[in-house]
Amino acid sequence: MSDPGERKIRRLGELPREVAPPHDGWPALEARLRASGMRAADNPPERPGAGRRVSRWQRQLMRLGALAAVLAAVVLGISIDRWVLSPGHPAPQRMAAPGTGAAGAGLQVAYITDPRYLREREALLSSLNARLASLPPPTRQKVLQSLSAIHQSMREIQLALGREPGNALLQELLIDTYQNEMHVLSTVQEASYGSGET
Amino acid sequence: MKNFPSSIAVLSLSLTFAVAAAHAATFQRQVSADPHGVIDVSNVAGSIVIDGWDKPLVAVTADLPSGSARVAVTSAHGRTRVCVTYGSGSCDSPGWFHGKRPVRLQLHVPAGSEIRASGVSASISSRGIAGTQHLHTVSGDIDADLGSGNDDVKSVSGSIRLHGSGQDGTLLVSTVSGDLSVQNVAGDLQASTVNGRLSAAVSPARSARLNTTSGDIDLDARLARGGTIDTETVSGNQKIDVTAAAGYSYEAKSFSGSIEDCFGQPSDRNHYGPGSRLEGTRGAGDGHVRLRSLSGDESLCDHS
Repeated sequence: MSDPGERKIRRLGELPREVAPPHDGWPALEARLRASGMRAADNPPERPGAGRRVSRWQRQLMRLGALAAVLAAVVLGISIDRWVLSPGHPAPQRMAAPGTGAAGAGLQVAYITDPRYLREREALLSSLNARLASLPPPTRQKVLQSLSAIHQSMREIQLALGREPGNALLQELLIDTYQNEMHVLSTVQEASYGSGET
Repeated sequence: MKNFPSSIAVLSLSLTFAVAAAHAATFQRQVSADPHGVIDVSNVAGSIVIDGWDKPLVAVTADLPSGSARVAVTSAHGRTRVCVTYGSGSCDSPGWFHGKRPVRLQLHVPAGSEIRASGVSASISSRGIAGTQHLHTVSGDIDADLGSGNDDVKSVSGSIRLHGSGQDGTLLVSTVSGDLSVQNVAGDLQASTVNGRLSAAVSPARSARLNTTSGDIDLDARLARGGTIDTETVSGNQKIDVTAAAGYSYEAKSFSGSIEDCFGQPSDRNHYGPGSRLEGTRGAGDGHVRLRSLSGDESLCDHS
């Protein structure tokens, strides 16, 4: 129920232009300000500007903190995307091919990014010497020659790719050569099992 | 008296041979077998020789060089197992090849058998087998006549020579460092060697995929309708001769090698860098032929 004494306002134009306050509050406020000013005069003030310097330093600190937080968030986001959301695309790795010199052994496997493949290749390469030892010596020698031919081919393709990174033929040849290497490593593993070394 | 030391040496040598001959033994055994059963044979060192015959029997002959080598033969439920073992070894674990004296193992088996032969330092040969053959060895050569068309043959360092029956099927063949020769096969062929030479004749070819790293490829193929041929080397040369009644499209690429054909079409140089390519169509262009190499020379011909 509405108060019958109140007039209903239907349009903005019906609002009053000026509304007088119920009482003048300024004298009481002035008296209170004067009283607080006298208390301040009783206590000696600190060095002028000291409070402002502290607050500016704090502001600088807060800005640096905010910047650091933004950077941390960016780094965290990139890390999550790279290692958690996109585990199939690890950073390019350098792997040492067996039977080659240390300096020239690093083969950049930027085109081979399947982590499962890389894990299996690493495992097969690390056990290669033990596997080879179980094979007949002439076979061992021939397998090493074949692996050497494969690694030489990888290096040649990598060199060509260095000149033409976008060449689809070279990319395909490189991937196929890695598959050939994997085939040889798997064959050596099977053969070593077959030769009685279990 | 001057010849006394020599006489002693000759006498000792003769005695050694005599003792060795006394210890050497010939193993012979014959068991009944399913005409279409499985023959599982293995040998560590020496050779495996398999011949097909029209009897439901497996006959095994082996020259055993010393008392430590044994031959085990079992036959049950359509499967005959023949293996050479040493000492306390078994068929599943025959022991290391090191120090093993070679054994020549010869089998006569029903021609319709499926063969599963494996060796370490052992060569494998087979003749007159119509069934599927799975032939695997580490360092020995493989020489086989294929019958069914569905076979897989693998060696690590040995060479492989296969002669098919022309029957349609699937042949998977690979060696790491040996040469590879496949003749008179049909259907699907997948062949690879790293640094050996690869030569093949496929007619008709539904799909042929040949791959080497540094070895040369020599292919002679008659393409089936809709068939595909795919050859690849890194530094090996390729000589490909393909005929097809329904024609084929072709695409040859080499990064730094030369490309030539017998069609009178010069290869194009890439516009955006080194490399050559040759593309075109023969006849109705039904099949597809693809050659790739890094530095090997490629030659494509159609001698139909």
